[in-house]
Amino acid sequence: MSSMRLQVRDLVVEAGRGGERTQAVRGACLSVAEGQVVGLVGESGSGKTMTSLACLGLLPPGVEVVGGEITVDGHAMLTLPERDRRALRGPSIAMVFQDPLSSFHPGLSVGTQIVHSLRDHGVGRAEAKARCIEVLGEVGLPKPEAQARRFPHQLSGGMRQRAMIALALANRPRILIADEPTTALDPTVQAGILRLLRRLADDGLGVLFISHNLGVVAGLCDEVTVMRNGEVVESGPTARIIGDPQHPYTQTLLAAAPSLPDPVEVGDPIVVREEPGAAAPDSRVDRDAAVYTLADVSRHFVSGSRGRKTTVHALDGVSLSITKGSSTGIVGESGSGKSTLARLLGALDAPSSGQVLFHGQDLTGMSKQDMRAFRRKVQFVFQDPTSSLDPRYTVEDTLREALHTHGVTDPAQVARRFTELSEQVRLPKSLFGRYPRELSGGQRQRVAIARALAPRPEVLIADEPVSSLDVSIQAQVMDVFRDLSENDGLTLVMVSHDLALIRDVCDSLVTLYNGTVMESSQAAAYYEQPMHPYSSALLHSMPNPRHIGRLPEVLALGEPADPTSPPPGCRFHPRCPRAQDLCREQRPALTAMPDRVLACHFPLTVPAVTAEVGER
Amino acid sequence: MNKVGRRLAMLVGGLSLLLAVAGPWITPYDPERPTADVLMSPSASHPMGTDASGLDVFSVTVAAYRTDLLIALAAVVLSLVVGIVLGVLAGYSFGGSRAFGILGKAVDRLLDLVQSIPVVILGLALVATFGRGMPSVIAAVAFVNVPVFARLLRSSLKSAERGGLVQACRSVGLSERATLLRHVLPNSLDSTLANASVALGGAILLTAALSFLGAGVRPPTPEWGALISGGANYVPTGQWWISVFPGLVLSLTVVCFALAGESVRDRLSGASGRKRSADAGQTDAAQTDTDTVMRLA
Ligand SMILES: Nc1ncnc2c1ncn2[C@@H]1O[C@H](COP(=O)(O)OP(=O)(O)O)[C@@H](O)[C@H]1O
Ligand code: SF4
Ligand SMILES: [Mg+2]
Repeated sequence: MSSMRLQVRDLVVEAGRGGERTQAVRGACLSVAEGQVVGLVGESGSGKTMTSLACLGLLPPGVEVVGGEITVDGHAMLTLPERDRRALRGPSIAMVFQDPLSSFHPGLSVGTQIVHSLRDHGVGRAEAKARCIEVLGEVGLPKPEAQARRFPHQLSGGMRQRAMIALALANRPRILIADEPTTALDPTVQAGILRLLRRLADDGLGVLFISHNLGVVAGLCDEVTVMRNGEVVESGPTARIIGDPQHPYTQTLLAAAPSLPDPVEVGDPIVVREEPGAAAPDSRVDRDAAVYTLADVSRHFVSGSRGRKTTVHALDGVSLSITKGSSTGIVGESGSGKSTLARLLGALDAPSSGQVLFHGQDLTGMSKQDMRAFRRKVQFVFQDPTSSLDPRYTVEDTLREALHTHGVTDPAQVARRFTELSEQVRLPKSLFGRYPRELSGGQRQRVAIARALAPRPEVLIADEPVSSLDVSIQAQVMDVFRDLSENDGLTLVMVSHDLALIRDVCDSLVTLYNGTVMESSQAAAYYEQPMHPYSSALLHSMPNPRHIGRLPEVLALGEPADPTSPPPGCRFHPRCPRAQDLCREQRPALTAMPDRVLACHFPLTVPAVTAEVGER
Repeated sequence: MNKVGRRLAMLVGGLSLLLAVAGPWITPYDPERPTADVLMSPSASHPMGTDASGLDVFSVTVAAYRTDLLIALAAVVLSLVVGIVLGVLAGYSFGGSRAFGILGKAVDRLLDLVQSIPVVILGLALVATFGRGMPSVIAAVAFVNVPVFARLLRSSLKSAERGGLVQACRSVGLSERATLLRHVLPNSLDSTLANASVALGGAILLTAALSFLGAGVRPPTPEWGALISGGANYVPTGQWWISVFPGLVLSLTVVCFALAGESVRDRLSGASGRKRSADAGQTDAAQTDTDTVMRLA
């Protein structure tokens, strides 16, 4: 078949040295045709990356192909000498990695590196320069000439990934391998990259797309190959594999992948009457029930010396309240100030201005005694359990210390709490003697949760508590949080960038952008009909396994604004497809609606056709 | 440095340590009582010859090893203790306490100042003030290492404080003291302690260098630097063994200690598993070590 760009047959890859060899890939088969995007799916360690590196002939030392065939663009890759393989890398096959920063040379401009890769394949100097600008434009970088002169670290995450794709495409390869190219990106930015890859495939490129995210794969890929422990368990057209999986493993993966209901499509602008004084904190909330009340809270980080001061506006004028027993999700793109807000709520940091009131009491200037009481009542769970646990403490030591700190010292009582905590976080007591390194990521996070629960807190704040875990484990840990908020009456505050993940857990949502509150609403209403253009952009950018052949939409142009120089007027206006002159001039006030508080001059209310703004 | 080299260094270093410890029982002559044989070249009865006063060079060299090792060990331990205290003051914010902040800055300046004083001049000054003798030499050698350890610990503490564990301890409500003593220090110290093994070789070299320049221990005490400088007078007249043998043993020991120290350090910090953050600090210290050696050479 002449249209076959990449074929892997019965590939066996062995790793390890000496007698202890393990098979990283055992008899994998897959193929990618011209103009096709093939998804390679599986959990970490399933052999996806090894398979793709073998295709490029770039296996790390100590790892070798011991069987099978790989055909790249008609060439039998495995039998070629290294020199010929190198000649194929670029013009025939190229690769894009998850972290573009580590694959770019930090000291050379993006343009120089692209030109170098072209010159390596014998392209003339002038032609190489022209092609460099052309390919940077092709991947959707604005002002390609200017971007070519910039260094990798000067580009934002999404731009850098586009530049990486440009580097891969420079020599016009017939096949592109993309290894989790969007995993580190915000969904809003990811959506743009996915659209780019789709367009490239539609123009004839064959793409092998490696991912653990079934939502992304469902939208982008024509065919899917599912791997587990180095073996292909299932492969075929996306509609069949994701729409109707036969293999139990694929079914488990799919069951663990959260999916959102489709929000109501909305369009026409309707001007909301602004009632002065009706603004937040949410006036519907009974003041007594408010655990937290934030009034005009800002947190600015000032750095640099006298002459050249830069101020990061991590939070700017945030007002909100959190009700007792509620579970509040704090959402937004990275850098929007979610973690900063969480840290202020946990008194791990203090606001630059404004007040954070906990049951009416200001957290700044609290007496030592009050602070101790506060620390018992409010507990924190961090993103990375590995770094938040002491490697020298067993589970039991960690929990005992937390109990002792808050005055539970009686051995019988401690033992009773151990049992309770073990049940609450579903971590068997048999593991209590272990050190963190002897636990899996999910188990470690359970320990961290148990530690937080030890003093019987009233509020639990969790900052991206599952984003460092494998997808199948994320759902299980989220279940623990849901139980805690539903059954144990805990007030839960959860930071997340994944709207799908927290849907089952949170009953209200605060959406942050560039340090300001965009929308603060009841979760059900939010998911059903986002009214703020930014919320809508976030929701529509979420990949969904049920959307086969339908890519997430891009309803926010470009990337998050720089918090060192926030845009005037509405912070979101440079990216908002609905922005008017008013938005550029006047910052919209938080306005109360029946089921939410909103900061937008022209919120979405009436269902209509969604405006399509292209891939960026 | 490759693995074989390090293994070899470990082996030779270990053997020489054994020699130093067992010295008094295995050396053929009393290192402080002259024999009748004066300025004898190496022979079966005196494998490294004898010096002008009739002392057996081999016995004296082994005895000097004990002196140098003792001084170096004492200096490293002293500088560790002082370095840890200063490192904690400079590196840990104690929850953003203002007083500790100011103190920390002052310690930082102090460390800069100390590191800018040339070691040898400092040694001479100390000896001039307190007289020749072990305490002065130990103090001078320790002085050099204090900033090294303090800096190392400071950078581990700084990164630890940004890390998750400190945040977690604070959010759990642990006091700053408990956080520091129970969690932060034990996890940050191993890289500092591991570097002590590397510092030992440098300390021996420095001890010898100070004596060589006349700022070391008082003469009858056998000491490498003193032996080398004492024997140097006889080299022009052909009695090379008096200073060459101690010199060779000194070089071999220092190199072995440096290499062996590096593998001990790597093993220690490898064992703690997750000390990525401390790596920056380690190269920092290794750098300072080579600097010291270079400055002396
Ligand atoms: N300690 C700090 N010093 C300087 N800037 C900071 C600090 N912490 C956060 N920031 C900046 O504040 C902004 C908001 O950060 P963060 O709250 O972590 O966002 P999120 O959690 O939503 O990704 C970012 O631009 C971040 O770089
Ligand atoms: S720019 Fe801001 S205020 Fe204007 S429509 Fe968009 S979100 Fe609303
Ligand atoms: Mg964050």
